[in-house]
Amino acid sequence: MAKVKPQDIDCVAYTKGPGMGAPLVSTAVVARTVAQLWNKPLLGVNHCIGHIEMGRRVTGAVNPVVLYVSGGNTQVIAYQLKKYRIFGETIDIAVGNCLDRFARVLKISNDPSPGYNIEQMAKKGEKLIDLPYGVKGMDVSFSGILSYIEDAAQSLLDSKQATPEDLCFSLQETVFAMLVEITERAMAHCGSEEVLIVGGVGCNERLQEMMGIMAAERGAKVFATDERYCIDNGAMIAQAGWEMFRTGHVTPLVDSWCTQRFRTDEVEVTWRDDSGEPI
Amino acid sequence: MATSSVKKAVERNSGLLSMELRVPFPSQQLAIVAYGSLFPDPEPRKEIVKKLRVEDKELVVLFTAPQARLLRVAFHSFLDHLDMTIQTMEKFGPADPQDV
Repeated sequence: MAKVKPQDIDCVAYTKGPGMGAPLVSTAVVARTVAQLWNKPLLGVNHCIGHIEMGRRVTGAVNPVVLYVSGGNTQVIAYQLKKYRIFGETIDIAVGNCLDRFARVLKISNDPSPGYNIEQMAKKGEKLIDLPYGVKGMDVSFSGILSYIEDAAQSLLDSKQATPEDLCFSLQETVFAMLVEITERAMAHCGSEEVLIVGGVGCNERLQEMMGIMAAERGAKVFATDERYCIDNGAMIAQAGWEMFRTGHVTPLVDSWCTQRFRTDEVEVTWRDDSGEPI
Repeated sequence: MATSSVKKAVERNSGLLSMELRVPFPSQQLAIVAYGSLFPDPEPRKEIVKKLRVEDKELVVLFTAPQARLLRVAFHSFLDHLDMTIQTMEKFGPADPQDV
């Protein structure tokens, strides 16, 4: 395939966390085995930082405020003094989780993904239903809007006050507006002129569009990738692992345990200097 | 009688059950690689204790838990990870396992 030999490999990167325990451990076990067999250094990578570093690499964004949105995570992140600091996040569930669970209520297909199908249906929605808006300072909350729409969906559909397309449209417009608001708040805080959207929900073109409108009003630019890089992938772990390795990180076996909770700001970003420039 | 001596053994062990598994490898180096891959992750359940060591060419695992079903769960999961380790060795290791 890649026609690369063990001698060509410098290090072995794997996901240390965050995420679900069993899948994390299964890849870690294989990574540790390969690293030992080939006598290569091991790098335990933070999954969120994988997304950030892939986004920076692919888009060329220099020092963006990052909106990381997926089924499992919702964070607004900005680099400051050797850390990817979390400026805002969900206080309950991730936005992707909210969308996926809403799709189940309407029995929307999982093929190719519930989020993709909600996006297509939303394009045909016309009516904006009033839904609870959950911005709390720098943070967001989605469990309220989810339980509201789970309860209200059937009666809205039955009474013909809304079509399924209207509900998809309304949910997207509301949750995306929330995300745009907390991103803007972080940008104002940091004086940033760039927004980078990463994570599976980042594929959504309406989210990119809404973010673009806000950014343009501030004279800022939005960077986003397509589904090859937004969605979880191994290359992003390798990219972050490489940045870590070339600037001195190594994960000894005894520290290579996987963890379901791993905050983005726990990692020392050795590959960027105090002003955010690459080292 | 058999049952009362088992009961006493369990009581002496403070009510804990234990199970030991010995996995032979073609070389001590490979047993050490397996150890390196399998020791770092703690057991998700605190009541289960897993201890690994290498003895000559064998990887030895000792599980301790208060209930048999917990031993079963830990053992099952360990076998899955052990299987992945061995498959990885077969796929990516040197042609002759004695070379490691």
